[in-house]
Amino acid sequence: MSATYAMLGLLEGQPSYGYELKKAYDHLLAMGKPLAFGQVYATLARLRRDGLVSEVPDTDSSGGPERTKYAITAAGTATLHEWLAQAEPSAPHLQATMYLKVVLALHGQGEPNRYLDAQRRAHLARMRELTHQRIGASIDQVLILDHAIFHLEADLRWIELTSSRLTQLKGELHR
Amino acid sequence: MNAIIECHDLHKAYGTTPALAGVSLSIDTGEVLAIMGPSGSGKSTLLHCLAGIITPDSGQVIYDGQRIDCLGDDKRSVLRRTAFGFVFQFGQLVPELTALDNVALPLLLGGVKRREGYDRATQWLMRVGLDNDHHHQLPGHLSGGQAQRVTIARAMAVEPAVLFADEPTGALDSLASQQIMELLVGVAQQAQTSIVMVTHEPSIAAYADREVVVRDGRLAGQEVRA
Repeated sequence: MSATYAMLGLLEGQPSYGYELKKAYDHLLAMGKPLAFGQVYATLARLRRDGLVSEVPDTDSSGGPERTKYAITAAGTATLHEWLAQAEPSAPHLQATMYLKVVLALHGQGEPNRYLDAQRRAHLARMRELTHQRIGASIDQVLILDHAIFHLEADLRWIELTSSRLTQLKGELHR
Repeated sequence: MNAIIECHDLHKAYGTTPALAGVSLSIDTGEVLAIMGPSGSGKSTLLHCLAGIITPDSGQVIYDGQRIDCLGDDKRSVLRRTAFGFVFQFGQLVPELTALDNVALPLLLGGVKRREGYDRATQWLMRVGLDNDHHHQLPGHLSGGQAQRVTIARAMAVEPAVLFADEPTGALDSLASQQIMELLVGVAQQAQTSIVMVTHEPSIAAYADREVVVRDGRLAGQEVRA
Protein backbone atom coordinates (compact mmCIF):
# COMPACT_ATOMS: atom_id res chain seq x y z
CA MET A 1 0.00 0.00 0.00
CA SER A 2 2.74 2.48 0.98
CA ALA A 3 4.80 1.65 -2.12
CA THR A 4 1.78 2.38 -4.30
CA TYR A 5 1.29 5.89 -2.92
CA ALA A 6 5.04 6.45 -2.72
CA MET A 7 5.37 5.80 -6.47
CA LEU A 8 2.45 8.14 -7.21
CA GLY A 9 3.89 10.83 -4.93
CA LEU A 10 7.35 10.61 -6.44
CA LEU A 11 5.92 10.71 -9.97
CA GLU A 12 3.91 13.81 -9.14
CA GLY A 13 7.19 15.72 -9.00
CA GLN A 14 8.15 14.68 -12.54
CA PRO A 15 7.99 11.68 -14.92
CA SER A 16 10.69 9.16 -14.00
CA TYR A 17 12.26 5.81 -14.86
CA GLY A 18 11.88 2.87 -12.56
CA TYR A 19 15.45 3.04 -11.31
CA GLU A 20 15.08 6.77 -10.55
CA LEU A 21 11.97 6.03 -8.53
CA LYS A 22 13.81 3.36 -6.56
CA LYS A 23 16.69 5.76 -5.93
CA ALA A 24 14.35 8.54 -4.75
CA TYR A 25 12.37 6.11 -2.59
CA ASP A 26 15.48 4.71 -0.94
CA HIS A 27 16.80 8.23 -0.31
CA LEU A 28 13.61 9.88 0.98
CA LEU A 29 11.28 7.22 2.28
CA ALA A 30 12.94 3.86 2.86
CA MET A 31 13.92 4.46 6.52
CA GLY A 32 16.46 1.62 6.33
CA LYS A 33 14.26 -0.66 4.20
CA PRO A 34 15.20 -0.14 0.52
CA LEU A 35 12.66 -1.17 -2.09
CA ALA A 36 13.57 -4.15 -4.32
CA PHE A 37 13.63 -3.46 -8.06
CA GLY A 38 11.07 -6.21 -8.51
CA GLN A 39 8.65 -4.43 -6.19
CA VAL A 40 9.16 -1.11 -7.97
CA TYR A 41 8.29 -2.58 -11.39
CA ALA A 42 5.45 -4.74 -10.05
CA THR A 43 3.94 -1.63 -8.42
CA LEU A 44 4.34 0.42 -11.60
CA ALA A 45 2.73 -2.35 -13.66
CA ARG A 46 -0.25 -2.44 -11.30
CA LEU A 47 -0.58 1.36 -11.34
CA ARG A 48 -0.44 1.34 -15.15
CA ARG A 49 -3.10 -1.38 -15.31
CA ASP A 50 -5.33 0.74 -13.06
CA GLY A 51 -4.81 3.87 -15.15
CA LEU A 52 -3.02 5.76 -12.39
CA VAL A 53 0.27 6.06 -14.28
CA SER A 54 1.07 5.94 -17.98
CA GLU A 55 4.15 5.26 -20.04
CA VAL A 56 5.57 8.33 -21.73
CA PRO A 57 7.90 8.52 -24.73
CA ASP A 58 11.54 8.24 -23.68
CA THR A 59 13.36 11.34 -24.89
CA ASP A 60 16.70 10.23 -23.45
CA SER A 61 19.02 9.98 -26.48
CA SER A 62 22.08 8.66 -24.68
CA GLY A 63 22.04 5.58 -26.90
CA GLY A 64 21.59 3.10 -24.08
CA PRO A 65 19.03 0.32 -24.01
CA GLU A 66 15.41 1.36 -24.44
CA ARG A 67 13.79 2.17 -21.13
CA THR A 68 10.30 2.91 -19.94
CA LYS A 69 9.48 6.26 -18.39
CA TYR A 70 6.39 6.72 -16.28
CA ALA A 71 4.14 9.71 -15.57
CA ILE A 72 1.26 10.13 -13.17
CA THR A 73 -2.19 10.45 -14.81
CA ALA A 74 -5.02 12.77 -13.74
CA ALA A 75 -6.68 9.78 -12.05
CA GLY A 76 -3.40 9.01 -10.28
CA THR A 77 -3.11 12.59 -9.04
CA ALA A 78 -6.68 12.52 -7.73
CA THR A 79 -6.06 9.19 -5.95
CA LEU A 80 -2.84 10.51 -4.41
CA HIS A 81 -4.39 13.77 -3.20
CA GLU A 82 -7.37 11.96 -1.73
CA TRP A 83 -5.01 9.72 0.25
CA LEU A 84 -2.78 12.63 1.32
CA ALA A 85 -5.71 14.60 2.73
CA GLN A 86 -7.10 11.62 4.65
CA ALA A 87 -6.30 11.23 8.35
CA GLU A 88 -5.11 7.80 9.39
CA PRO A 89 -7.17 6.05 12.08
CA SER A 90 -5.49 6.91 15.40
CA ALA A 91 -3.34 3.97 16.42
CA PRO A 92 0.12 3.52 17.95
CA HIS A 93 3.18 3.45 15.70
CA LEU A 94 1.82 5.57 12.88
CA GLN A 95 5.14 7.37 12.42
CA ALA A 96 6.01 5.73 9.11
CA THR A 97 2.71 6.61 7.42
CA MET A 98 2.60 10.15 8.82
CA TYR A 99 6.17 10.76 7.65
CA LEU A 100 5.39 9.28 4.23
CA LYS A 101 2.38 11.53 3.71
CA VAL A 102 4.21 14.70 4.72
CA VAL A 103 7.26 13.99 2.55
CA LEU A 104 5.15 13.02 -0.47
CA ALA A 105 2.93 16.09 -0.08
CA LEU A 106 6.05 18.28 0.11
CA HIS A 107 7.61 16.50 -2.85
CA GLY A 108 4.62 17.02 -5.14
CA GLN A 109 1.78 19.50 -5.27
CA GLY A 110 -0.06 18.32 -2.14
CA GLU A 111 -0.69 20.45 0.94
CA PRO A 112 1.01 18.95 4.00
CA ASN A 113 -0.91 21.25 6.36
CA ARG A 114 -4.20 19.88 5.06
CA TYR A 115 -3.10 16.37 5.99
CA LEU A 116 -1.53 17.45 9.29
CA ASP A 117 -4.72 19.32 10.28
CA ALA A 118 -6.85 16.26 9.45
CA GLN A 119 -4.50 13.98 11.40
CA ARG A 120 -4.50 16.36 14.37
CA ARG A 121 -8.31 16.33 14.41
CA ALA A 122 -8.40 12.53 14.25
CA HIS A 123 -5.82 12.13 17.02
CA LEU A 124 -7.48 14.70 19.26
CA ALA A 125 -10.86 13.08 18.76
CA ARG A 126 -9.39 9.75 19.89
CA MET A 127 -7.56 11.43 22.75
CA ARG A 128 -10.83 13.08 23.82
CA GLU A 129 -12.54 9.66 23.92
CA LEU A 130 -9.74 8.20 26.02
CA THR A 131 -9.67 11.23 28.33
CA HIS A 132 -13.43 10.89 28.97
CA GLN A 133 -12.99 7.17 29.65
CA ARG A 134 -10.23 7.97 32.16
CA ILE A 135 -12.46 10.19 34.31
CA GLY A 136 -13.83 7.92 37.00
CA ALA A 137 -12.07 4.78 35.68
CA SER A 138 -10.44 2.22 37.99
CA ILE A 139 -6.71 2.66 38.61
CA ASP A 140 -5.67 -0.21 36.34
CA GLN A 141 -7.74 1.26 33.52
CA VAL A 142 -6.32 4.72 34.25
CA LEU A 143 -2.77 3.39 33.79
CA ILE A 144 -3.63 1.78 30.45
CA LEU A 145 -5.46 4.88 29.25
CA ASP A 146 -2.55 7.13 30.36
CA HIS A 147 -0.21 5.02 28.25
CA ALA A 148 -2.42 5.28 25.15
CA ILE A 149 -2.89 9.03 25.66
CA PHE A 150 0.86 9.66 25.98
CA HIS A 151 1.50 7.79 22.72
CA LEU A 152 -1.07 9.91 20.92
CA GLU A 153 0.48 12.98 22.53
CA ALA A 154 3.88 12.07 21.09
CA ASP A 155 2.34 11.90 17.60
CA LEU A 156 0.59 15.22 18.15
CA ARG A 157 3.83 16.89 19.25
CA TRP A 158 5.44 15.59 16.07
CA ILE A 159 2.53 16.99 14.03
CA GLU A 160 2.94 20.45 15.63
CA LEU A 161 6.69 20.51 15.17
CA THR A 162 6.46 19.32 11.58
CA SER A 163 3.80 21.92 10.85
CA SER A 164 6.19 24.60 12.16
CA ARG A 165 9.02 23.24 10.03
CA LEU A 166 7.20 22.90 6.71
CA THR A 167 8.82 25.93 5.05
CA GLN A 168 12.30 24.70 5.96
CA LEU A 169 11.49 21.12 4.91
CA LYS A 170 10.08 22.22 1.57
CA GLY A 171 13.18 24.33 0.92
CA GLU A 172 15.48 21.39 1.65
CA LEU A 173 13.51 18.89 -0.44
CA HIS A 174 13.47 21.17 -3.49
CA ARG A 175 17.12 22.21 -3.18
CA MET B 1 -27.37 25.48 21.40
CA ASN B 2 -27.05 29.29 21.50
CA ALA B 3 -23.81 31.14 21.01
CA ILE B 4 -22.79 32.81 24.26
CA ILE B 5 -19.80 34.52 22.69
CA GLU B 6 -18.72 34.95 19.10
CA CYS B 7 -16.41 37.02 16.96
CA HIS B 8 -16.45 38.01 13.33
CA ASP B 9 -13.48 38.82 11.11
CA LEU B 10 -11.21 39.94 13.95
CA HIS B 11 -8.04 41.79 13.00
CA LYS B 12 -5.39 42.93 15.44
CA ALA B 13 -1.83 44.09 14.88
CA TYR B 14 0.93 45.10 17.26
CA GLY B 15 2.67 47.88 15.37
CA THR B 16 3.26 46.45 11.92
CA THR B 17 3.12 42.84 13.14
CA PRO B 18 -0.28 41.22 12.50
CA ALA B 19 -1.50 39.00 15.34
CA LEU B 20 -5.03 38.27 14.08
CA ALA B 21 -5.85 38.40 10.39
CA GLY B 22 -9.57 37.68 10.11
CA VAL B 23 -10.78 35.22 12.75
CA SER B 24 -14.44 34.25 13.07
CA LEU B 25 -15.57 31.92 15.82
CA SER B 26 -18.62 31.03 17.88
CA ILE B 27 -18.82 29.33 21.28
CA ASP B 28 -22.05 27.82 22.60
CA THR B 29 -23.39 28.02 26.12
CA GLY B 30 -21.70 25.32 28.19
CA GLU B 31 -19.22 24.45 25.45
CA VAL B 32 -15.53 23.89 26.21
CA LEU B 33 -13.33 25.17 23.39
CA ALA B 34 -9.55 24.74 23.13
CA ILE B 35 -7.55 27.26 21.12
CA MET B 36 -4.32 25.67 19.97
CA GLY B 37 -1.41 26.83 17.84
CA PRO B 38 2.31 27.45 17.91
CA SER B 39 3.92 30.26 19.92
CA GLY B 40 3.25 33.62 18.32
CA SER B 41 0.33 32.32 16.23
CA GLY B 42 -2.12 34.76 17.82
CA LYS B 43 -4.00 32.37 20.11
CA SER B 44 -3.57 34.46 23.28
CA THR B 45 -4.47 37.63 21.38
CA LEU B 46 -7.68 35.91 20.26
CA LEU B 47 -8.53 34.94 23.84
CA HIS B 48 -7.79 38.48 25.09
CA CYS B 49 -10.04 39.98 22.38
CA LEU B 50 -12.89 37.59 23.23
CA ALA B 51 -12.50 38.38 26.93
CA GLY B 52 -12.55 42.16 26.39
CA ILE B 53 -9.02 42.53 27.78
CA ILE B 54 -7.89 44.13 24.53
CA THR B 55 -9.92 45.59 21.69
CA PRO B 56 -9.46 44.40 18.09
CA ASP B 57 -8.44 46.83 15.35
CA SER B 58 -11.50 45.73 13.38
CA GLY B 59 -14.17 43.06 13.51
CA GLN B 60 -16.79 42.33 16.15
CA VAL B 61 -16.91 40.53 19.48
CA ILE B 62 -20.43 39.68 20.58
CA TYR B 63 -21.29 38.45 24.07
CA ASP B 64 -24.83 37.30 24.79
CA GLY B 65 -26.10 39.07 21.68
CA GLN B 66 -24.38 42.41 22.35
CA ARG B 67 -21.23 43.86 20.88
CA ILE B 68 -18.52 44.32 23.47
CA ASP B 69 -15.59 45.36 21.28
CA CYS B 70 -16.88 48.94 21.14
CA LEU B 71 -17.54 49.28 24.88
CA GLY B 72 -15.39 51.70 26.90
CA ASP B 73 -12.79 50.50 29.39
CA ASP B 74 -15.14 50.91 32.39
CA LYS B 75 -17.96 48.84 30.91
CA ARG B 76 -15.59 46.13 29.72
CA SER B 77 -14.04 46.05 33.18
CA VAL B 78 -17.47 45.50 34.78
CA LEU B 79 -18.24 42.79 32.22
CA ARG B 80 -14.98 40.99 32.96
CA ARG B 81 -15.70 41.12 36.69
CA THR B 82 -19.32 39.99 36.54
CA ALA B 83 -19.75 37.75 33.48
CA PHE B 84 -16.29 36.33 32.89
CA GLY B 85 -13.88 34.29 34.98
CA PHE B 86 -10.15 33.93 34.40
CA VAL B 87 -7.70 31.13 35.09
CA PHE B 88 -4.22 31.92 33.87
CA GLN B 89 -0.91 30.20 34.40
CA PHE B 90 0.76 32.53 36.86
CA GLY B 91 0.36 35.47 39.13
CA GLN B 92 -3.34 35.96 39.51
CA LEU B 93 -3.64 35.51 43.23
CA VAL B 94 -2.86 38.47 45.46
CA PRO B 95 0.17 37.20 47.41
CA GLU B 96 -0.61 39.22 50.57
CA LEU B 97 -4.14 37.81 50.88
CA THR B 98 -5.15 34.39 52.17
CA ALA B 99 -6.78 31.85 49.86
CA LEU B 100 -10.19 32.74 51.35
CA ASP B 101 -9.63 36.50 50.91
CA ASN B 102 -8.52 35.95 47.33
CA VAL B 103 -11.73 34.10 46.48
CA ALA B 104 -13.94 36.57 48.34
CA LEU B 105 -12.29 39.65 46.79
CA PRO B 106 -14.05 39.72 43.38
CA LEU B 107 -17.39 39.04 45.09
CA LEU B 108 -16.92 41.98 47.46
CA LEU B 109 -15.77 44.20 44.57
CA GLY B 110 -18.93 43.17 42.74
CA GLY B 111 -21.11 44.44 45.60
CA VAL B 112 -21.86 41.17 47.42
CA LYS B 113 -22.23 41.73 51.16
CA ARG B 114 -19.22 40.74 53.24
CA ARG B 115 -20.82 37.84 55.12
CA GLU B 116 -22.36 36.34 52.01
CA GLY B 117 -19.14 36.85 50.04
CA TYR B 118 -17.09 34.94 52.59
CA ASP B 119 -19.70 32.19 52.85
CA ARG B 120 -19.66 31.70 49.09
CA ALA B 121 -15.85 31.82 49.01
CA THR B 122 -15.69 29.15 51.72
CA GLN B 123 -18.13 26.92 49.83
CA TRP B 124 -16.15 27.25 46.62
CA LEU B 125 -12.85 26.44 48.32
CA MET B 126 -14.43 23.29 49.77
CA ARG B 127 -15.89 22.44 46.38
CA VAL B 128 -12.48 22.58 44.69
CA GLY B 129 -11.10 20.21 47.31
CA LEU B 130 -9.38 22.60 49.73
CA ASP B 131 -10.27 22.04 53.37
CA ASN B 132 -10.29 24.59 56.18
CA ASP B 133 -6.56 24.21 56.84
CA HIS B 134 -5.82 25.81 53.49
CA HIS B 135 -8.34 28.64 53.62
CA HIS B 136 -6.17 30.93 55.71
CA GLN B 137 -2.87 30.22 54.00
CA LEU B 138 -1.12 32.69 51.75
CA PRO B 139 -0.71 31.63 48.08
CA GLY B 140 3.06 31.34 48.56
CA HIS B 141 2.50 28.57 51.11
CA LEU B 142 0.34 26.48 48.76
CA SER B 143 1.53 23.97 46.16
CA GLY B 144 1.08 24.85 42.49
CA GLY B 145 -1.95 22.59 42.23
CA GLN B 146 -3.53 24.01 45.40
CA ALA B 147 -2.95 27.58 44.20
CA GLN B 148 -4.61 26.74 40.88
CA ARG B 149 -7.59 25.30 42.79
CA VAL B 150 -7.90 28.65 44.58
CA THR B 151 -7.78 30.39 41.19
CA ILE B 152 -10.58 28.16 39.89
CA ALA B 153 -12.66 28.83 43.02
CA ARG B 154 -12.11 32.56 42.57
CA ALA B 155 -13.07 32.44 38.89
CA MET B 156 -16.19 30.32 39.46
CA ALA B 157 -17.41 32.14 42.61
CA VAL B 158 -18.77 35.01 40.52
CA GLU B 159 -20.82 32.45 38.54
CA PRO B 160 -19.41 33.52 35.18
CA ALA B 161 -21.06 32.76 31.87
CA VAL B 162 -17.66 32.27 30.26
CA LEU B 163 -14.41 31.19 31.87
CA PHE B 164 -11.22 32.12 30.00
CA ALA B 165 -8.16 30.00 30.69
CA ASP B 166 -4.66 30.59 29.30
CA GLU B 167 -2.37 27.57 29.74
CA PRO B 168 -4.24 26.67 32.96
CA THR B 169 -1.91 23.80 33.83
CA GLY B 170 1.29 25.23 32.38
CA ALA B 171 3.17 25.16 35.67
CA LEU B 172 1.92 21.77 36.90
CA ASP B 173 3.11 18.18 36.55
CA SER B 174 1.08 15.56 34.66
CA LEU B 175 -0.93 14.27 37.62
CA ALA B 176 -1.77 17.73 39.00
CA SER B 177 -2.68 18.81 35.44
CA GLN B 178 -5.17 15.95 35.09
CA GLN B 179 -6.71 16.73 38.48
CA ILE B 180 -7.00 20.44 37.72
CA MET B 181 -8.54 19.84 34.29
CA GLU B 182 -11.07 17.34 35.62
CA LEU B 183 -11.98 19.84 38.33
CA LEU B 184 -12.15 22.83 35.96
CA VAL B 185 -14.29 21.11 33.34
CA GLY B 186 -16.43 19.40 35.98
CA VAL B 187 -17.42 22.55 37.88
CA ALA B 188 -17.92 24.52 34.66
CA GLN B 189 -20.23 21.83 33.24
CA GLN B 190 -22.33 21.78 36.39
CA ALA B 191 -22.73 25.56 36.20
CA GLN B 192 -23.27 25.55 32.38
CA THR B 193 -20.27 27.88 32.15
CA SER B 194 -18.52 27.92 28.78
CA ILE B 195 -14.74 27.59 28.77
CA VAL B 196 -12.42 29.17 26.23
CA MET B 197 -8.98 27.77 26.86
CA VAL B 198 -5.65 28.48 25.22
CA THR B 199 -3.25 25.56 25.37
CA HIS B 200 -0.41 24.09 23.38
CA GLU B 201 -0.80 20.78 25.25
CA PRO B 202 -2.82 18.16 23.29
CA SER B 203 -3.61 16.29 26.52
CA ILE B 204 -5.22 19.46 27.91
CA ALA B 205 -7.05 20.25 24.67
CA ALA B 206 -8.52 16.74 24.88
CA TYR B 207 -10.73 17.93 27.76
CA ALA B 208 -12.45 20.34 25.37
CA ASP B 209 -15.53 19.55 23.30
CA ARG B 210 -13.83 21.08 20.25
CA GLU B 211 -10.52 22.57 19.27
CA VAL B 212 -9.50 25.25 16.80
CA VAL B 213 -5.95 25.84 15.62
CA VAL B 214 -4.62 29.36 15.09
CA ARG B 215 -1.89 29.64 12.49
CA ASP B 216 -0.43 32.99 11.40
CA GLY B 217 -3.38 34.85 12.87
CA ARG B 218 -6.06 32.75 11.16
CA LEU B 219 -7.96 29.62 12.12
CA ALA B 220 -6.69 26.53 10.31
CA GLY B 221 -9.34 25.84 7.70
CA GLN B 222 -10.13 29.56 7.42
CA GLU B 223 -6.82 30.39 5.78
CA VAL B 224 -6.85 32.10 2.43
CA ARG B 225 -5.25 29.54 0.19
CA ALA B 226 -2.72 30.82 -2.32
